[in-house]
Amino acid sequence: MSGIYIHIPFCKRRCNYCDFFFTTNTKLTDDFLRSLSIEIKLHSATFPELTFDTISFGGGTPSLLGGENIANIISVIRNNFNISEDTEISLEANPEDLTGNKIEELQRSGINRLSIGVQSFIDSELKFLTRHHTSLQAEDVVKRALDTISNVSIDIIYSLPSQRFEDIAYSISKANELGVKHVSAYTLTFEDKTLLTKQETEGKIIRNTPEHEATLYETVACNLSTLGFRQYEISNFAKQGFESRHNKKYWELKNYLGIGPSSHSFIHSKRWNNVKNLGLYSEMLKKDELPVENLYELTNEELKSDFIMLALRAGGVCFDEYSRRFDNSFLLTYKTVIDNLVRDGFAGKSQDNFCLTSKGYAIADEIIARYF
Amino acid sequence: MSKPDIRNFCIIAHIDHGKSTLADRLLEKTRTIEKRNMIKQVLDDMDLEQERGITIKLHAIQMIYTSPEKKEYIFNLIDTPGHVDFSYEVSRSLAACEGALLVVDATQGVEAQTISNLYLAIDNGLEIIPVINKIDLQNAMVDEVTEQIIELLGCKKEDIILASAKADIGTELILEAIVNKIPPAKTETDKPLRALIFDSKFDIYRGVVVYIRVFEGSIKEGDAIKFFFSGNTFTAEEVGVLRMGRIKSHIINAGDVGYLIAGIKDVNDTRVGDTIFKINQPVSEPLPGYKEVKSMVFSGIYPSSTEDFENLRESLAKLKLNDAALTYEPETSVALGFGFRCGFLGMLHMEIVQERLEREYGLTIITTVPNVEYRVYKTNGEVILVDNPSHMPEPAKIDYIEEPYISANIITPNEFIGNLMKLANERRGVFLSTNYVDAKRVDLHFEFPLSEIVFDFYDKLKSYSRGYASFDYAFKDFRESDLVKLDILLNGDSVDALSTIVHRDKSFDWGKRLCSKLKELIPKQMFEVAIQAAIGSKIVARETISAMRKNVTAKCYGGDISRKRKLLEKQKEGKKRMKQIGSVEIPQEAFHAVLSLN
Repeated sequence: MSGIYIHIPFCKRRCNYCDFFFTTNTKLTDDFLRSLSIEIKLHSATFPELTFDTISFGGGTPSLLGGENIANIISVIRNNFNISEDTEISLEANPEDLTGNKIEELQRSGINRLSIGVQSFIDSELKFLTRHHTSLQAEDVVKRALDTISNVSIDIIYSLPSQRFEDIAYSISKANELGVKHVSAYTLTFEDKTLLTKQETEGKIIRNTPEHEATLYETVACNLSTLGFRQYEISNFAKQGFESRHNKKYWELKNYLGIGPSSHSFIHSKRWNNVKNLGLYSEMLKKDELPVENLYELTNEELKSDFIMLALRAGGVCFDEYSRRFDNSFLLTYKTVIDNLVRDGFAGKSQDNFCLTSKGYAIADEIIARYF
Repeated sequence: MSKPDIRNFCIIAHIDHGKSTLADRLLEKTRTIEKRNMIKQVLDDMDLEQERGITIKLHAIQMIYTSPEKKEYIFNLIDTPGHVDFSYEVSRSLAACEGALLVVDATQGVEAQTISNLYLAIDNGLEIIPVINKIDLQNAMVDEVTEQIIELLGCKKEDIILASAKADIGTELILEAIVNKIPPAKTETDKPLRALIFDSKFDIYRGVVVYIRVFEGSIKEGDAIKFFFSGNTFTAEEVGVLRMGRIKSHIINAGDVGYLIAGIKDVNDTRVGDTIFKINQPVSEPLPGYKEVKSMVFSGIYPSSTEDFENLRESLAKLKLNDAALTYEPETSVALGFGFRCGFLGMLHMEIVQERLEREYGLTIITTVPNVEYRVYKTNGEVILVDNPSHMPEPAKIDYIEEPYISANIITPNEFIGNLMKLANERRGVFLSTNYVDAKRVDLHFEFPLSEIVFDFYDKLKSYSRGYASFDYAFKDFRESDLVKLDILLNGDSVDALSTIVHRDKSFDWGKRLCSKLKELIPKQMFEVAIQAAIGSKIVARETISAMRKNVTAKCYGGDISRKRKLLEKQKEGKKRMKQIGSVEIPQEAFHAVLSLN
């Protein structure tokens, strides 16, 4: 089964930590939606052998689109691809967009999973992150979402400058209290050319020490697991049965097709991305041209190292899957490394799987760069 | 027409005092080279030399000078290396001359090195022509420098030529002084051949090209010749003089300077200072002054990645073709694998070799902390030479250790005497005497353990004297010292490449500083790392690097794996440059930790 990602490149404004591609010019929406339809149709004949069981709206801010627009996109997709009956259709939403009966609208359009950009349940933190909702709004939205679409995830950003353990613990326990089924908890990162990085350069804010950041990470991982959320990827925690089916496509090296400007695709060992510029994207599609760039077919070695890297960041290396794909034994190839990592508590091993522990996840880059 | 008179001379000057520019000017005036063909400072033809602005290898060049009276003279300018590491080579090129131009920068004055080379020249009986250069500069201190030179040489004020090589002031006066003051070379052609080797270089097409000064007799093509000290015999295939290139002359007569090609494959067969004679006219006495050149400073050189070992071996062999003073032999280090223990004349020589390996041969190398050679008297009566700290016997087996001492001259403005005394004290210096060079500057005479000056002494000297002090040294003797081997352990494993030999009084402080420096340089690992300094089994210092707790980028952006992949590849590249000791990864800079201790 494969996945479809749809990039909605609009935001009302830029958050201080964000370096994703989007535009605030929502006048381009109609033009964009037309281009999106053309792109879907152009792709329709390309992969007749693929069946898709996830559709994921990301951005940008997909919740800026009305339910009708979402419904239209889903219907064009259904008309042009093999879409499985029980498809997970998820959408990223900002709390401030989910007013009135927007949630019901989205549900009617076919959305069956909501990922809400809550980021924090503390007002001062929301202010710091230049978000435009309050903690009360967030609580209200999450409650209503859970009533309508039970499969609700929230995003949390932690390791804000001088954040205290009790702060992050509060947001987590609030999420649990409200009944969310899934939490994506990301460390605040200082990306180039963001307002945040500028503030840091100007000395207005001070980044946390690696030690403090590590302790916050441990607080997040420990508290969520105590509350019954399983860490199934470095930053992702879910109650039983509520893992993001779509995100797992990325981590399990499954096929996924990206639609919309700057989206990424991986199908049949090839990777590519769409052009980042919305104008160029629409222009190319008007000429019935796919807005593809950086098309690259991975070698077997690259596939293998991507497979290991992604698996170790998520649910672990499945031994059967590995030998089926690469025709050799993961256990034999990495015997000493595996034994040492298990011995030192960085990883665990079962009959059929090798997986990092929470302690291992925390230094996953080091482990992968050093041993795999 | 009678043979023209020959003048053999060299230029003595401190780095940057204008030796090469003056040489250029002389070449131009004698039409040895046309102005338009001049690349700046033609004598320094290695890239590295031009960049560092110092002459590393000596060369010789012949000029024909026509005096205002229309008389022709042959001038042989023998260039000398400008650094203390090469003082033996300097002494041999001085021995090939009858006179020297003493060039002093009008803005800088006399420096330690100028003095030591000047004394060498006077010892060799050379006639000295003092020249004050750069007199056209705004900050020229002609009067002070004149006073210094008079003090130094006991000459008259009017003997000193005021010049600016750059602005072509005084060049004619210098040329005339060479004719009038420097004694003509003796031309005893009827005696058996005795020629001095003062340099050699390797030519890939012709083998070794030997630079010689013929003192007696003559050498011509086809002569069967023998080298006095090395005992090697050859046939002279080609002889000639040196202009802008080699010019065959079939014969070199007594008094002249030239080159010899004799099918010699290895520069080590042609030792600087050796005497050449004819097999059929054996001589009983060599020319005076021959010495075996000895390495003073040693360091391990290892390829950064083990598969480059053969490359490194080949590169060293090629370097050695042109650098007889470089020694190397294979060694292995637990930490660094296979490499070479290399011997150098001094720190500059070492830096040059390292830089040439990296630049000219494209190698990435790790060099261990330089050290000197110790004489170890063992309890069983055996005496061994140790040039690698990790080869030092166990303390119980050592009766005592001797280390090399040098005699050093520091010339400094008198206001820095206090600072420099303090520096000398820190470096276990023995103060001997002070002499005033002029009213404001003194010549301090010390003895130091060589090990105390091999690293960062020169930088310290400069910073303690705001750049004004200059320094020169020569090997003195071996003396007994209370020395200990200080080992570094990482998680209990001793890292041989980080072992050093230090004076016992300094060992605790040294160990402490080394541990804390290493703590800075070694990145966090997956495990806690204990850094310990030990003398024998006694731990004298300890630092701990706590375990890395977080190293992960949180997100794979919407399926954008390539971004993540690139980051990881970068990390992997970084790891390749690390050396693995047990389970600890050490960056290459750590092996230089000692060098940056202060």
